[in-house]
Formats: sequence, structure tokens, C-alpha cells
Amino acid sequence: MKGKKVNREILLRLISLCEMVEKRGINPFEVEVAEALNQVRRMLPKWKSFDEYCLDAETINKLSKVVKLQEEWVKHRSSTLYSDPEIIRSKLMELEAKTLAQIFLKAWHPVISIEKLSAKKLKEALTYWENLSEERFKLEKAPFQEEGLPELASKDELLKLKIFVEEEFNRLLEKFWFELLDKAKGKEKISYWDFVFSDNYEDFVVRSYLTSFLVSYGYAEILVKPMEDEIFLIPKLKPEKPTQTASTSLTIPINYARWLKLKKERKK
Amino acid sequence: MVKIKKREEKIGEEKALYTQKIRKAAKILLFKKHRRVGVKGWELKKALGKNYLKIVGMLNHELEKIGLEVKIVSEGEEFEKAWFFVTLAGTPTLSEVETSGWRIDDLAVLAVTIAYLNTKQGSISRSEIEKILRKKFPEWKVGYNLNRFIRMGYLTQDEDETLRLGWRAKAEVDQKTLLELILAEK
Repeated sequence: MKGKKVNREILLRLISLCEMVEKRGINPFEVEVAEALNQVRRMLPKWKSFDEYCLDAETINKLSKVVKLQEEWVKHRSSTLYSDPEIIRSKLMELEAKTLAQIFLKAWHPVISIEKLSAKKLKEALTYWENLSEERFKLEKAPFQEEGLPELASKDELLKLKIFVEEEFNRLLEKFWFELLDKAKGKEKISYWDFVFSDNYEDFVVRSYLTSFLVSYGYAEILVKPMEDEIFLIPKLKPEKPTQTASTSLTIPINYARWLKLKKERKK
Repeated sequence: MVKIKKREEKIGEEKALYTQKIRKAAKILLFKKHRRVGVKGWELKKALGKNYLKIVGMLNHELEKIGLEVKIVSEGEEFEKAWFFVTLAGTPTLSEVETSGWRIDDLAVLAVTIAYLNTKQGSISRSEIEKILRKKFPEWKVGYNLNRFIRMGYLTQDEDETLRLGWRAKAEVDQKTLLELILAEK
């Protein structure tokens, strides 16, 4: 009984060794396949239960994968692609991102493809156009307002009118998030006003608007320090949408006067 | 005289047939089907007939004139099981790829990943490559880019989180040149 237990352990160890070779890409010749097969063969007559036979089969299966890896290893070593892994690894660590990108470009031949519009898709588009909500056309009929400033449409309104596509907005938001991560550069937080400020007033408004979505969608957290009269943005490495119970509402007024003030501060 | 005329007519017919088939091959190879680009050899054979390799060769000749080429990615020697793509014959410039949405860091992450996979016989655990990449790039860029490269087909990921080179890396990246250039860089 004790011998059987030891044998089982030997097989389990063999399986885990084979898996390690497979996953980590280490030299498959580290596994002595011939010796392992002899061991498996010696153990076979002792097995009685279904589980034991399954373990035996699994070991053979894993060993066969190692043999396949050994074949690939030999092929790779004898191919023109083989270079000393250690030298390549140290080179990769030494080289700057820009140099690596330039090297990559010299070896890169991107695939070319064309997006096609088939007759079927064209028909679908026509049906879509015919079924568009009337609200969209009401805009054109609306009387021109001479007075008052135009209001900013909310994201939901734009989506409802099918002017803005959800995917497009997400892409825009993701790009903005990258900018935040880049500007923070490993720092825990960044000043809200530094991030949203732009030399152009319209851009400043758009940046503030998008930042509100960054916070709402969990790409960043907002931290208000009333004593210091400061607002900070804490970028998140992985976006997590805040739970309804944990979320609070915060209004940050932005206007032309605020922008002028920020601009003046930056000129000093 | 009649014989010569008949022969000329036959040549003309054959020429027209081949032109038609070259156009058909271009459509099959260039038009994107869902998210996948390119076709398998057997699909080309089905659409173009048993002379499909000859037609692909003729198409390649035409494409060369505009800086493109047909690339065949095969594991074995059977062309029917191989993938056929149209790729850029030359290489793009940094400003060209930047316009199409690539960032220098993204390209560098891809370069390191492909080169590393090569030193590991084409497979590496995700955690291992993440650890290496994190030494050079910010953490968020590493995870985001690896997922993106998997989606784009440059990498594949098994259930046990082992990364391998995807069809796109095999089709687009001249790995020998990549390794040689890395080694040659001072």
C-alpha cells in the first residue's frame, strides 16, 4: 500500500515537471524521458483502480508533449532564428523604448485589408435609416433661437439621437485615461486643474467634461481637499466602476472666469 | 491563317480568364471577413481552381508594383493548410504608424514580447513576461497592451495563461531580422 502511494507521488511529480517545462519554456531535455517511461512501465502492473490508470495515461500524455517540445527545441536551435537567449534578454533590457520601436518597424510588414460594404449590409443600412427616430429630424425643424447660449448636450442625449456611438465615446475616454496615466507618471495623484487646463477655452470645457466621465466610469478617483482648496485626480491602473452605495455626487463649476484665472496663474 | 486566328482567340480567352481570376484572388485576399484577415489555401483553391498558386503568383507580381506582397504562413509544407495574406512589402515609418494609432511604447512592448517569446521557443507564461515588461514599462501599459495584442492576433493565450505567437506575428514580423537588429544595436 505504501509502495503504491510512493509510486503515485512519483507520477504526480513527473506530471508537474512536464507542465513546468511546457509552461515556462525551459529546456525540455531537463526531463529524462527514457528513464521516466521505464519507471511508468515498471509501475503499470501494480495499478488496479480506474484513477490509477488515468494517472498513468496522463503521465504518458505529458511525457509525449515533452518529446514534442524536445523536437521543436532541436529544430529551433538548428534554425537561423537561434541566437543566444541571454544576450538577447540583456539587450532588450538595455535598449530604450524608442530604439526598440524603430528596430521593430524595420522587421514589420503589416497585413493589408479592406473593409467592404456588401449589398446585404447596404440594405441593412437603408432599413436603419428608414427606422431612425423622428426626434432626430425634429431638430432641423426647430425654430432658430437668436438669444441665449447654446446648451451642451449630455452624452445620453447624443446617444439617443444616434449622433454619438457608445464605442466611439469609450475609445475617446480610454485615450483620455491614457493621457491621465501618462501625466501622472507613477505619481499617486495629479492636480485636477493642471490636468483639465488647456490654452483654449473650448478644450478646457471638453477636458472637464471628459474628466467627469473618467471619474464616473471608475478610470480615476477624485479627492477634494477643502482646507488646501485643491482637487486631485487619482488615476486607476484598472478601471473599476464605483458601486451605487459608495458613490457620491460632486459639482465642480467651470466658467470663463475660472479659465482666465488659471491661465493667469500659469503665466506667472 | 484560320489556325493562327483560332490560336490568338484562345490566347485572348485564356488571358481574360486569368485576369478575371487575379481580380477574384485580390478580392478574396484583401477584403476582411469579420475580424479575420487573409484566407486558407484550400479556400483559394476552391474559388480559383487547382492553379490557384499560379494565380496568386501573378497577383503577387501585380501587387509588387504598388508596394504590397502576398505572404504565406505555413506550419508544414502543405499550401492548402497555409494562411495567405497581403502585407506591406516594405516597412512603415514611425510617423506612418503613429498616424494609424500606434504609440512608440506599444511597439516597444510588442517588440520585447515577440523577441522574448523567441528566446523561449515560442511560449512563455503571462506572469513571467509581465514581470519582465514591468521593468521597462508602466504596469498599466503592460496589461493593457498584452490584452490588446491577444485581441489583434499577435499573441494567443491558453487557459493556463501561457502566451504564444499568434497568426499575425507570424505573418507580419520578420523574426529573424528583428533578432538580428536587436543583437546588432549598440
